Amino acid sequence: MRLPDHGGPEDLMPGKEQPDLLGPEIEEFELELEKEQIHGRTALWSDVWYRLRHNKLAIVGIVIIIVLFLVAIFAPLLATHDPLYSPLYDSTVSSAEKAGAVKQTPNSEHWLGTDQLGRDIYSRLVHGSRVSVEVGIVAVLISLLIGLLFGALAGYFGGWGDSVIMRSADIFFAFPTVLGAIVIMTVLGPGLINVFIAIGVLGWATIARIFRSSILSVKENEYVEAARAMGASHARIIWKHIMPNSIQPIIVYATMGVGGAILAEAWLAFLGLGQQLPAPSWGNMLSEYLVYYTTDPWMMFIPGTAIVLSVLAFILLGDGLRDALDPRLKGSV
Amino acid sequence: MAMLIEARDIVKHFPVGKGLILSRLGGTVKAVDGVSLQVEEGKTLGLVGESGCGKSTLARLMLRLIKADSGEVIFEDRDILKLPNKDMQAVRRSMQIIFQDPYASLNPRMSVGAIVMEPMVIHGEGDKESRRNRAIELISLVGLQPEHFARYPHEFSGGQRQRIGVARALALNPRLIICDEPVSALDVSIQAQILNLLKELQEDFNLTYIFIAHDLSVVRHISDEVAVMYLGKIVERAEHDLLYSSPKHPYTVALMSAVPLPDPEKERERKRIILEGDVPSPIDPPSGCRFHTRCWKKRDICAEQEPPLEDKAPGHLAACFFPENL
Ligand SMILES: Nc1ncnc2c1ncn2[C@@H]1O[C@H](COP(=O)(O)OP(=O)(O)OP(=O)(O)O)[C@@H](O)[C@H]1O
Ligand SMILES: [Mg+2]
Repeated sequence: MRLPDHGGPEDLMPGKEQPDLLGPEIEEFELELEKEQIHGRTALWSDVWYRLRHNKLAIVGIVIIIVLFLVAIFAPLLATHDPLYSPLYDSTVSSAEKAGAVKQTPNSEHWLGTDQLGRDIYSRLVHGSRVSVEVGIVAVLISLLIGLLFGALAGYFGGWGDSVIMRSADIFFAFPTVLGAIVIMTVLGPGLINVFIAIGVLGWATIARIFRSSILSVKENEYVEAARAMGASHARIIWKHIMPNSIQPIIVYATMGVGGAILAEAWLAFLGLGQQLPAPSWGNMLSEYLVYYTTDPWMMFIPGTAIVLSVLAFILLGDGLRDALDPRLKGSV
Repeated sequence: MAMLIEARDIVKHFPVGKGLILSRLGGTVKAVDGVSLQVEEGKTLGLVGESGCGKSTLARLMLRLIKADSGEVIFEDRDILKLPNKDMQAVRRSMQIIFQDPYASLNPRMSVGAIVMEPMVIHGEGDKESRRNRAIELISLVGLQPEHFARYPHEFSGGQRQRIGVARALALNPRLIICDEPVSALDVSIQAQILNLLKELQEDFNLTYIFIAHDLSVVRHISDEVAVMYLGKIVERAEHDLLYSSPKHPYTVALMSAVPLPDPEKERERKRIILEGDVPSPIDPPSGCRFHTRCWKKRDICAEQEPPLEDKAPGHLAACFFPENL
């Protein structure tokens, strides 16, 4: 099969640049074609990477995420000031200087200005990124751990265990994350670790649901029955046959979930439940600076933009992954 | 000759509805309803019947992939349905299955090598090196190239995939292979290739087959004995030649009339018997003889009593009060 005005199948191989003259439908057709082509050794993940690379929005997401992670890792090196240092509490600073040190607009000394206590906003932002990254990763890992375990039990074994698990998931699902987190946080008390736990625990229900339904369709495949006929253990069947074929929607959801967790942390910090002051997080920065939105609105825009960009980046990557993992999945999840 | 596998009066009814309440109200699908059969070592039993008559269910029951409601499956002189799981694991080495759908039967995330080696891994056979060598040997044996080892299923055609499935089934040197419509999804030209491959392998390794198909033409060239199933029951069973030369059950006769004849003259005279109506629901199968609703020879007794599966001629079992070709 050949398309007119277009080279042979080798032109469709991953790794080769293609002219971008083709409309979206043709491009889609090509991807299908490429998938069906009998080309050399192709691990399936290289197909995914190939499709992802050609999705500009996903690349934008990836770049932002890489920057975010680098900032979080190298925060102490990148920060220009001590994020906690406030001239207002420094006895060596004269009161005239104190008055001038607060709420400075961005300048060469303080790249993003100073806040109401004269602290360097840029340095606080850089250090605060660690909270967001940690919350995103840890909370999603907790959700995955619980969600995948129960989703697998429910989907693979079925029966009354399935009913019990899915009814409990319904209860968790009915709670909006932030409301649920507030309830959990009031029990556990404020603090960052408890934010991880609260957001993580609340996320399991959706993951369990998605994984369960994905498993239900995958386990109907005859290769699962073939594995049973060979005498494969349940663990092996789940791990080798069901997991690799049902994990795609989970990858997508978990990626987006990192963004969701970052946003949830911001909400909780806003309510004074997350990172405790004076240590910075984007959420508590936003809630502090929001007070000055009439007089100095630029202050709140700094953590606000950081939050929005990070959340958006994970959504873009998740969206790109969904299309890349399985073109047929488009529009679902 | 010794029997390798024998099913005795095996029954499987599936509850219709889901959940505790619905399943009690909804009745059951009588997928397999008292089936007995035997296959001798090294022979092929062709199992034929329309879609939904319970062929795959019977296959799964005999491999103990689903639990039978009652009955026995004697394999290598033991009732495998009563074996503890540990002993069953050893039995699984000797019985394998090949599926109909060449796309659904291979894990798309595993390379051909990994697929073929998997049975050896599960049963702890050999070390990495020897498993690899054996897999390459098997891949060549079924007519693929050794370099296909590292490829993935999506790179192969339906016929090639079916060969991969055959290689996987052979990995542990089984004695019995149940072939569940292994060629139904393939082009006619490819069908013959796969059938020939299976035949050759049978001769080389003294394999025993239960070969499932939905029409009589496919099993014609491969079976030693043929059993015809209708709505969860076997209605006729005989040696290949007996069955094809003088079918006894009207249902078999009807199926037979759908098979094109090789002789053009006879083919012109062939009269097709078109069965009236659909296959009745297996949830509420007809009383008496299950075929009576579609049978042109039906009389009162057919709806009242169930005809036993008995010898109508030496070695020729049929379940009919008014058999043909006597
Ligand atoms: N797990 C199940 N639960 C409920 N009903 C089932 C189940 N498996 C099979 N059945 C029913 O049992 C009957 C026999 O199914 P089976 O798959 O054995 O038929 P078959 O002869 O293999 O048909 P085909 O030629 O289409 O493969 C069908 O009516 C089917 O709907
Ligand atoms: Mg079937």
